[in-house]
Amino acid sequence: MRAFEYVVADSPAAARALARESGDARFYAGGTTLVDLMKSDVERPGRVIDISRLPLTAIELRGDVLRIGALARNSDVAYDPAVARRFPAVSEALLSGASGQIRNAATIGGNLLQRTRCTYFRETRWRCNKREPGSGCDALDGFNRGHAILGTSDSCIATYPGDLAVALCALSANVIVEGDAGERTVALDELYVLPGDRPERENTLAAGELITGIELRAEPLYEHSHYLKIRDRASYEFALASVACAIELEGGRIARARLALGGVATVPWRAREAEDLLAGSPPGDAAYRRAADAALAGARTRAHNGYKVELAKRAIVRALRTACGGAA
Amino acid sequence: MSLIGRPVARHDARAKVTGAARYPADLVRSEMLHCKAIFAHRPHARIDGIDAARAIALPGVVAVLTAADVPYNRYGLIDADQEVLCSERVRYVGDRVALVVAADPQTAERAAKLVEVAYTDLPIAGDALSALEPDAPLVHEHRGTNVLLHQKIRKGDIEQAFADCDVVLSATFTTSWQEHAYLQPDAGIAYYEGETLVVETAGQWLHEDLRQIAAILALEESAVAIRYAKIGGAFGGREDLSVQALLALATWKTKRPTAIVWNREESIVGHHKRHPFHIETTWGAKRDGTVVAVRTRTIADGGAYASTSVEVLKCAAIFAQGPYRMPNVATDAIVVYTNNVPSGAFRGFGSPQAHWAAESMITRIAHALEIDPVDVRRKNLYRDGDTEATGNVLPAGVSAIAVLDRCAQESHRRFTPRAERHAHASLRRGVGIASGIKNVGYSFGFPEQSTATVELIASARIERAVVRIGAADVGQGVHLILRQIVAETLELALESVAIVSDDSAQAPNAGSASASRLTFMAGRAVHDAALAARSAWERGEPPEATVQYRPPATTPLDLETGAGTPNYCYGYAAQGVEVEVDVTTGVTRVLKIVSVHDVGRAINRQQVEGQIEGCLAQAVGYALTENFKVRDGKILTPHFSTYLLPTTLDMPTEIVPVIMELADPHGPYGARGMAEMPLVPFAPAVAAAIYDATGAWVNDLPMTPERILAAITAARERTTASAASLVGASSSPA
Repeated sequence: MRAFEYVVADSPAAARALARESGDARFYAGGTTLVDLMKSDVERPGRVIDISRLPLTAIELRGDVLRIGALARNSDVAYDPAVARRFPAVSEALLSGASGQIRNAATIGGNLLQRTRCTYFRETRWRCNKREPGSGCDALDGFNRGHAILGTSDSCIATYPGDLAVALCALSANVIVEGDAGERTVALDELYVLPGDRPERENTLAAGELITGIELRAEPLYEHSHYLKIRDRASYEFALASVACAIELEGGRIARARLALGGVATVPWRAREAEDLLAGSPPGDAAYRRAADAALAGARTRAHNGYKVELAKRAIVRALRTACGGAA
Repeated sequence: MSLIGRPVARHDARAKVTGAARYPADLVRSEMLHCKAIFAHRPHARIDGIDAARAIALPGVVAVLTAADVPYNRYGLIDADQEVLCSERVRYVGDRVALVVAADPQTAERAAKLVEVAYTDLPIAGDALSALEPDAPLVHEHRGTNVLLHQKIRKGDIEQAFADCDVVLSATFTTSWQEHAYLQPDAGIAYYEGETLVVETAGQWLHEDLRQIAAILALEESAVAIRYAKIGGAFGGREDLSVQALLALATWKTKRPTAIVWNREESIVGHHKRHPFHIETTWGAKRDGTVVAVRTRTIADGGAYASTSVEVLKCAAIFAQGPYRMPNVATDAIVVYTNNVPSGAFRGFGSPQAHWAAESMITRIAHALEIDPVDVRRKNLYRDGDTEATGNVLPAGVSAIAVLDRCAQESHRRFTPRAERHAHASLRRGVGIASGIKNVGYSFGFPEQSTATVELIASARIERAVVRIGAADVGQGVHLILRQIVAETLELALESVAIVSDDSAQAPNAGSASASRLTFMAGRAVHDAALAARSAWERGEPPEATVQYRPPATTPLDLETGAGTPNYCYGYAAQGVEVEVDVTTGVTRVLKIVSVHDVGRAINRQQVEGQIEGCLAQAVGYALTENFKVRDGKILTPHFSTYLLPTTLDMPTEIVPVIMELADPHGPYGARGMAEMPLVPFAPAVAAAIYDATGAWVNDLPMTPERILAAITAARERTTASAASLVGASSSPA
């Protein structure tokens, strides 16, 4: 590991000032992604700003709005009664991620920004446009069984690895960001940017901005939300495909639907066309399959990840069945 | 009350579970010099030069060692084709080109980055099949070929036999590398004790490590001692030298204590793996289920160095037809040098790969003939007095049928009845069974012996005994087994038997902790030595004896025909598994395992069960999750985040270890080895269960979800196509 400066921030403002002043700083909260990547020389911050002691850990339901502090631990959020009851997909997504030890250390804000598991990104001996802009991408023609089929570009096919963000994406969460001009709110799916020809840029945060929390608006629809994750082993593994969805039934038809995909796209992937197709349809496999086909219509596969198209469609059908079962 | 079979507590258990036990990395002290190996990280290249000037100039760096510093720069378990530090050429990513020795680990690591190695990359032999092409780059040029071994076995008239068969089936199977993934990565220390160079690490065979290290340093064996700390698992992965030679070299050069601790990536890149196989096989049978002919062509990727490849491939060759009597056999087992990570010993030693094909095929024969797979197995399994394909009569004590029958009974009793297996639309249950055979001990004329010394402390009666035997306790618990055997033999309490075993200068040569052999071989040696010591005491002589036990002799196999006597003892296993396949996603869970083993005699029943359960975790990984990937010679899965071991949740809640005790004529108290057996039939049992659940066969290991899904889709398309062609045939006008 390279040498770096370690500083402890005593307030969000101080943390941001420390970051601005450095130019190549990283915030350290749970450290579950950052430390790994520093060890493997992928992340090379000159300064590590410890924000783990900032008072941003509260999980509060005020009226219809649930606000989760950025430093709340994954496990605390997952087991919070309000989260589990009002937003079960969030709870399920968190509990399907990593291991018990890691969930106890990881924080919500850091989790949103966790970086891809693409082998070619995480091993510095390969070429990677995300790690070293312009160097090329060894994933395109390499072993790419785990790689994305949606939102890819000729520069990058790295999968967004997280679970939580996929659930938050489906449930239209907002991210609270603190910057020089004060607090701003970003819709979760606007936090992330597609790789395009600049895959090194993963989100819309400006330098020195700090995620301080997320907000979820409680809606009856979300009480029947569901997160389904398909993976290679029973725990402690990233998704081959995952689905977050929520369904509201009215008069025997689907009134509203929310659908997002993980494990198959370069960002948490909201499937709005599929949602529109579901709205107004009677619940049932025909409607689910039509929605699944629409969600994957733009898929672009490589040598080893073609199976993900059908796998994701089947996962969507199954997740919708479960959500509808709960909503009925 | 007899100590044999009793699950007495392990004397090392408390220290291991409290953290007091000292593994090699725990021996490192800060005042030692710290070593960092510089890996090639390229699969094939000429070394044009090594410039260590900047590294040596760094304060705290004591030395940067290269090939020129190694007195005899050749080593290997069988064929000394590997260099401790490469001189002119690197042949795989884990080759070491230099060793930095520095005052602390951080300095060693920084210095390692300052060593400049100039390479010219060379074309690579990227896999076994392409390495066989006539214009393939040669991994070892002077050999003139990449073929390391081509072992043939010929028996009967294979062509005529196939012509006379009622059913003939062919298939191609593949397996991948498997990483040993022992808990504790390679580490150790070296130091001088007087004039003796001591290397203290973890390994599987003190005296073989001693032989190789003394040869590398051109020292007398008496000038070197190998000691083992606690060993955090081995599974064959510590048979080849990894850090041992580097430590010995560093201390010999600097005359100071040195230490090395590899991280997980260094361990995965730096030590050998289980061989990937490509197997083409054809099986022919009579209508009554008698299999009469098996033709097999196996091509294995041996990687860059010989390791134990030739022995592994001979084992795979003799098990090409599984545990079945076979009048007509034509086997070609070929292992090839490539620029991949070397392949070598791993629990099962070629037998799991051979069984992957053989046990899948016999189940397919059964289905093709519409006979129960258990009945087909029973009809063909080895019996006492049968002849192997190599022409010898099997060693006595053949228990394959009894083991299978017990497995079938237990499975029938415990598995979900067929009518209840498809209760859910997408979750389908299936059951499968497979048999297995694996040799105990060394094969093919390799010198096999185990030597033990027993000293008695006695006056009017024998009060205590000290056993000396250099047998590695890799976690399997052999030290307790040996104490139990001696205590039983001398009618002593267990506490009255001490063992000295972890120092090559203090304990005689037991042979390796491998091939499921120590309970049998070392157990027999301590048993015989205990009896001899007691006789000496009874005669009034000094109450001490050293006994070398040698089992019945084996012979090399004829390269063209396979004729010979390969082994002196076999272990027999059978496993039943119940799986649940999610036919929507391909995700498959093993729900129940019945694992039946004839162990001859369980010396410690709990340890036998522990071996079965631990081995099954490795078997679940081998069958389903462990997907070791290499691209252009570079390892893509050098971390546990990408190389997926099964977690606790991937293991079934119902594991039924069944221990049968059909005594071996030579083993101590009838015991025979069993440590590898649960890995042998497991993967094909799972494949058969997946077939039972879905109608789809998977031919490639590991059986990942997408492979299972693809097989299900292909099977459905075949069914639809054949239904369509039937419709077409009946509706077409005559």
